[in-house]
Amino acid sequence: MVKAHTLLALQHQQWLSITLAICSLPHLVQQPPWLAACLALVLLVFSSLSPDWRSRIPRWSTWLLAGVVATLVWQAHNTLVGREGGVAVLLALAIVKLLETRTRRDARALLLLMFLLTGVAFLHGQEPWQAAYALLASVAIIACAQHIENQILPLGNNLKASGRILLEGIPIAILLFVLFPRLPSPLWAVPDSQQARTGLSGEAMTPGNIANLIQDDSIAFRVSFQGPAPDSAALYWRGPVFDDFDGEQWKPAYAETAPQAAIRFTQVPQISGEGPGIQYTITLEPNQQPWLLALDMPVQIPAGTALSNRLQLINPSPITERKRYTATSLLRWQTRHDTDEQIMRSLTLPVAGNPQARALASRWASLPPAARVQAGLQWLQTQGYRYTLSPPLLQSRDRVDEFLFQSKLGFCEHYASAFAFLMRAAQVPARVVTGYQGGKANGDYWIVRQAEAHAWVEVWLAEQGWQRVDPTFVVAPSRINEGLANAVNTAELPFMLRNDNAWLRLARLRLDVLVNHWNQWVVGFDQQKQQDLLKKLGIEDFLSLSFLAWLFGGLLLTLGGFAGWLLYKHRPARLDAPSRALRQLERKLQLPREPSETVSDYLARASSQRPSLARRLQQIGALYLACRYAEQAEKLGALRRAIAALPARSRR
Amino acid sequence: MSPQSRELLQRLHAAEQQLNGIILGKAPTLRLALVCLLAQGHLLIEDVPGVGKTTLAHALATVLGLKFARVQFTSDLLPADLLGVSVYERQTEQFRFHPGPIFTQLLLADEINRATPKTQSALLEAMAEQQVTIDGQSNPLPKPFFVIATQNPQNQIGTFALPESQLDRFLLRLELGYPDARAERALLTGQSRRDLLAGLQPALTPAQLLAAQRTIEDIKLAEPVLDYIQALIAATREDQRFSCGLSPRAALGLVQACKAAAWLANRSMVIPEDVQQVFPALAGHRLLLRQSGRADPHCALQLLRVVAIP
Repeated sequence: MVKAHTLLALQHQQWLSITLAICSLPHLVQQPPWLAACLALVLLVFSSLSPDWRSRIPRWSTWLLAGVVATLVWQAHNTLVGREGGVAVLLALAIVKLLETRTRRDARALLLLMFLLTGVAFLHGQEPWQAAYALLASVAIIACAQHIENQILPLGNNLKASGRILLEGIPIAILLFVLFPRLPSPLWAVPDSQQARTGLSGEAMTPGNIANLIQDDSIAFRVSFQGPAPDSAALYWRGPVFDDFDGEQWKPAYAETAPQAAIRFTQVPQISGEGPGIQYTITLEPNQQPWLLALDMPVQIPAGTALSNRLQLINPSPITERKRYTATSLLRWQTRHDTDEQIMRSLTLPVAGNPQARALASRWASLPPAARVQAGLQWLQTQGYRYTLSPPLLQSRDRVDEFLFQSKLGFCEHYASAFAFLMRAAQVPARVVTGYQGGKANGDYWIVRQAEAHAWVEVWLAEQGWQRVDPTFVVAPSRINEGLANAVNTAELPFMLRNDNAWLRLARLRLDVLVNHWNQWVVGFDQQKQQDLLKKLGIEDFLSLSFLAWLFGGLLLTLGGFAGWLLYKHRPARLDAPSRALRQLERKLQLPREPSETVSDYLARASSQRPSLARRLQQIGALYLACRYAEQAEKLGALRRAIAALPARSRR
Repeated sequence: MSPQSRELLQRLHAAEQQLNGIILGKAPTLRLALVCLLAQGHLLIEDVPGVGKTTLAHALATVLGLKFARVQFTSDLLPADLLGVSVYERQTEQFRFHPGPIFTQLLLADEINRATPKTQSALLEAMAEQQVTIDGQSNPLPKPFFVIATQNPQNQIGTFALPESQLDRFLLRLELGYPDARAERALLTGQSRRDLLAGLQPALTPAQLLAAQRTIEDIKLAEPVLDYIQALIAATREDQRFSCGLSPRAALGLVQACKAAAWLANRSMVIPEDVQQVFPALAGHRLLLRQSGRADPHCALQLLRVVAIP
């Protein structure tokens, strides 16, 4: 440990600049390009300033500069707080801090700031590669700290030593990660970034908006089944349910959101069913929606969630972070009764419009309800409908007619929408359900992607209750049985859903296994998992005060003892008197000596900057050499007097 | 500084002045050559042909008043050609040792890397022990005894790289390098070197040189400088780029050379500046890169920039 007010040498400044650049990179790429360019430029300019130049910069200019960057951040984000603004301010101020970093104490502050920047980078995302980068940045920071605390090593050795320091810290990090009490919900919510998120919408379904999702091969959620996985054709992942049709869009007739944690839906139909329940755990990617996906039909739902009147799984708040939950579903299920209100709503159609479809439906009016459903499906099967990812745009007022009788080309939502319309016109209560269909097994879990979004229909039959009918199935059975890739022209699909280039896809799937483990065990390590793990280790009452007191007391005592021992072992050697005098001279000249610079070279450099002092500096040099290396202690007084007599440099 | 020591120093500076008149524009290198001889070390001069290596050796021998012998090393040079042979004499019915050219005070081993390793090794004992053993009989060499070896860079055709053990016995390695433009102009317009060499006068006697060697033992070496020297040596051993660091023999040599440099600079104590002056020439040929197995003089300079002065 070296004295805090020692001036930094040029080498140190360069190390600091490079390390700061490494730590800033994840933040710079998140900023608007012009702001990132500005900040990178400032970083570059400051890092090229010599210590001598730095000492000439007046104090007030750093304040001015801080004001300027704050204005720039305001221009870019319209705020100085929150995730976007706050991070930008932190980044900008860290870079400006580089300018006024003159002493070792400043450097230590800047190094701590860099650690903060590295931690804050996780606000942009918590993927494994971001953690790897943070680890890299930590090595850089430790290496820089080592360099500044005057342990000058060749670069390779320094990095190796820093890596070792980091490795030594890992057991403590793991201990804290496992044992530090987790909160049931985060202390503060991270506000969502303004980037629009794609995914299913719970607000409305218009034919065409699921087809847009097809281009998106990002992951919607991952599932692991506790028992054997069902056939992929049976995997209907239930999402938003729509029961109001205005001739163009399907919407929920009323909102079923619940801001409170305790959700009560009073008119939930009773579900009964047979067969063993299928238990599974879903890790849902954040979709900013207040509902969850569950295998059709959930019977045991995660705590804190609720099944709504439309049998939709509702979460109290929008999903802004990756959510992991376990549920049990029945593949064969029945609902004995539902409210009249709900059934009536599922029969309502706009007063006018789509006359051809209405005429078609009225032909089936004499049949019993179940036969009307069959007749509708048969119509779709036999009248030359085709399943395509790029259906023509429907523009007329009677869109259902246009689809059913002219274009005959559609995607799942076209079929679901048209079929539900036909059923309602034929006096069979019907509603549209959206969600995902299928998925792909990857090792011991399944991946469901946005592109696998799907829409189907539920009809109400008096004997069976709500029944799932998938009109897409009769048009394109292969979509359900063999997956999307086999039902459509492959070229239209995003990369991860195609069948070609198998090895590349395989590599990405392998990588996803890693990401999944990361999500499950690192990012998703919540209170529940913590308790489960500790129970396995035999710690029952984890949150009890005495246990925590023992734990942290013991930890503090161990670490404190270790730190004390280290401090004692590496207590600074007291500088000898001539060296202290030389430090005094460095401060007086405001010109730091490079660690490997000889006194003669240093004084020559100082003389070239202040030629008026050249003679006196020469005398000082001779006195210093005599005191220190010829051990003529009697000249020490003269050395001190000569240094004290030097005029101090005025700070401009 | 005692008057005797002062007089010796004046004589050496006079010698140095004469050298500077022969080899133009190379004052720092010539100073190091004197440092090497004062520290009782052998000198290796490495450079391309024609920059004045041999001239320097000649001039050194003359101005220091030393007995001088020159051996041109070639690939067919045998150890006996260098050390001498025992010849049977019929009159005395005994073997008599006929000393070779090595029995001199300053041996110029010209183009040492053209000889085979066997002959190069024959120099080893002479350089380290100041004696030659032939047929079980040790023959002491004259005092003082120096070897100045010159060599061409190793990538030239028909050369044998010196073994590491031999390299370690040379205290310093110097490179003369091309003269700068002004020195070269003076060289081109001035008298011929040969005439100048002939005109050189010995500035001191061998006995005085030995006395000077003893004088430098009195130079003060303070703790902080020893710390610095040890830090440098440790740095060469820790650095993973080198196949091995500096030996204790090299460290001892560094101390001697620093003292000589301090004395020549008219100082009674060693300062880190002396260490920095001597270190590159001392370490350059000893630090072999792990990757190429060759020496890179820049590495020593780099170490000086990295290791802090305590």
